[in-house]
Amino acid sequence: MSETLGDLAPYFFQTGYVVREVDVAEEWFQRVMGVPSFFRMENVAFGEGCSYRGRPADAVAHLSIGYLGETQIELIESVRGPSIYTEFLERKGPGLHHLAFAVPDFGASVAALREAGRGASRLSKAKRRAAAKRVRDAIESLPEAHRVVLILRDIEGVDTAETAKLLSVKPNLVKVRLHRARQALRNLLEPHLRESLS
Amino acid sequence: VTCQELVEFLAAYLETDLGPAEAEEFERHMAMCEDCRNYVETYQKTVALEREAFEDPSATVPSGVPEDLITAILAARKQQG
Repeated sequence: MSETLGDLAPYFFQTGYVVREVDVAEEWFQRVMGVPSFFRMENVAFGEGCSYRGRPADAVAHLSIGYLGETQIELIESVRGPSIYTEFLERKGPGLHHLAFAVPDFGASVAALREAGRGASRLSKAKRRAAAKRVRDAIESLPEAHRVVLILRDIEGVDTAETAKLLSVKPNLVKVRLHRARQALRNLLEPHLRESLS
Repeated sequence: VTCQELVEFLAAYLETDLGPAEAEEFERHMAMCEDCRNYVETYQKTVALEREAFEDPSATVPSGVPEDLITAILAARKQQG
């Protein structure tokens, strides 16, 4: 019950990085960090049994595994999304994506960590609810053609090609509208962005 | 790369639509320009906030498609002719 990430330390084995190009990242880890070698698996499909944001996932990635001392390094280059990796790359850019723990009882550890996280999230619930409403209102105020693209791409996780098909427009127009919509939203939210960044 | 170009091609950069040489130029500019770093940071934060805004903190599953979305999609289609 009182499980924390600290209790999981003995089971820690891997740090995972989302990268743009796995061969460039491999070279960097070898040259700078002294990882002796990498084992690469190309076009690994996350299909059957995987889901992404409530939908069946159909994602492909190149994965590369190496060792920095005792720690396994996993490099992940997304080939096709959407997936947790494309989402991470879009939100944060390339970088440290996860720590992996090989625990004896997966279900018990998940439940314990969920319980540990619950207290922290309860504290700021009202604040978060107000912030969420502010964002939804700002999205609501965008021109419709932009709003639709933003919702499909960013919130529903539909990819560019699929969104273009859905709206009967060129993929490039989807990209332009998405960028414009995000810029407009960013400007609307700007006064509140600083505080939520800190 | 100028600041204006960076802002214009930011989405392409984040979606890795740019070639490696262009991406590198982007990163060089960002390393030198605090304004652009701030812009990129707030842009990415905006995208993150969008998602959070539709995740009900009390629900275990994400809330569904906004009801007016289907109508809006149809309207957007019609607009294209």
